[in-house]
Amino acid sequence: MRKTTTIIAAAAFALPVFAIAAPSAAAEKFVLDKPHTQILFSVNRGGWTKISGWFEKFDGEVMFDQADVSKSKVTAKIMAESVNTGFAARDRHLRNPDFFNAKEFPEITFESTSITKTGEKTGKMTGDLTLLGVTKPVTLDVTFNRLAASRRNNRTYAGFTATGRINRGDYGMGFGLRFISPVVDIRIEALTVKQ
Amino acid sequence: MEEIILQTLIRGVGLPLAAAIAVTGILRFALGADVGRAVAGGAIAIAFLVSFAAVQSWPDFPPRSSGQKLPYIVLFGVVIGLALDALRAESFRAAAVVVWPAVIVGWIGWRQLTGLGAADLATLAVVFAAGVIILHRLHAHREGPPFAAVTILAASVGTAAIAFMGGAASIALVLGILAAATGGFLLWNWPKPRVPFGAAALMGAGGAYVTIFTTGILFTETSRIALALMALVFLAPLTMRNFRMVNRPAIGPLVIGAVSIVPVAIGVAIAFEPGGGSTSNF
Repeated sequence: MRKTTTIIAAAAFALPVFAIAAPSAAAEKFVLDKPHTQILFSVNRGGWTKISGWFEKFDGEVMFDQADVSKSKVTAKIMAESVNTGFAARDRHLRNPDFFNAKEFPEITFESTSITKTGEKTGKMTGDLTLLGVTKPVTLDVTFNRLAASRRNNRTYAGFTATGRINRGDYGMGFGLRFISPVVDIRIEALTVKQ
Repeated sequence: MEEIILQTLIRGVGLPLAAAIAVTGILRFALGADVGRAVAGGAIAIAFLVSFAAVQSWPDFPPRSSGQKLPYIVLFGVVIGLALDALRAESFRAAAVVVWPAVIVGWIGWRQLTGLGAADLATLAVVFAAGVIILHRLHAHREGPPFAAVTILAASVGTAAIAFMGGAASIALVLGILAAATGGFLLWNWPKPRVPFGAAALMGAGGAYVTIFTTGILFTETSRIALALMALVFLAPLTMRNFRMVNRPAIGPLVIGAVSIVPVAIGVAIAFEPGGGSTSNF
């Protein structure tokens, strides 16, 4: 069974695909497995180092059409106040209006608008990212890692890695742009579990 | 990072100070002894807006965040206030004491307002009441010694320090701009009062402070108690009203400034975190 689903998923990535907004009827619902999902970011600080951080609170689901991944749909919601860079004073600054303004804009949201295949297990996912009340399109490079049933609980899991880059200034996050790079690299390690 | 913030603060002080001095003089003398004197208080808000645009980028309309709404509130406030000053619309000026904080708090906190949560509504009510008290006390000192400007200056400096320690550097920066612009206006009015603190000053500069105060309470992690103490600064002239020397044009503002330091010092002490380091740590 596990082998069959893996083959189907791999075949889906090999098919020519078309960008559409709505998930297909054949799509199956997967939700983020939070303990095994990480939403990471990193930003260059003055040319010296890159500071990395992550979000601890989030939700998301994938309507995964294994036969035609272009008909899949991804939605995610991140709680801005859960930003963590491993240093409490910096995290407080990041939650304040200088950066994520978490009390005024508690949620960061993403909704895919198109998914296109670029390789056997790779694709590009474009969607609307809403940050600080500003919605802009962003494209992520997505790698499909694995779809298989877990031996532990026999539930089906799908794993993806997504990477991309945004300009925080585009979203009105303009604090310290001369020192802290406007370019923010994003990396998402997402494990999803079939419902 | 600290150097960047300090450089920005320096730029945010010199420009508004010079602009307020220049604009106050231009309005006062270009428009004559009657209208010019009535509207010259708008120089604080004009200098604030010029400096805000120079130090930060001017936000698109409609603004989304409270920080983006601030320059528009000051702009609308100074335009309306200049008209009220020029028309000598005294009853409308008095009404602005209640209406303007309602507009500001409603716009800044519309999500909390429409969310209808009990805690949020209670917070908004307290912030609105504080805004009315602040503008009422500023309006009470529109003529005579420049107590209104002294209290805005003291409250802005105190709130900037609290915001900076609370990790809200951009709010500290705009408060620095407001304090410097008010300082430039004060130089025209000390030791002899020359220009009244009219509706343009009330709605522009007073509106700026109420907006930042509201933003600080609603959206930052700075100490709410420390911020609330800054509203007491505006009561300083009231507490000293029975002291004759306060009415002396040269000494009065100095006394009020000294008294204002008390709530500022307490507020800063409450907000201070030993070993807290800089605001950024970025």
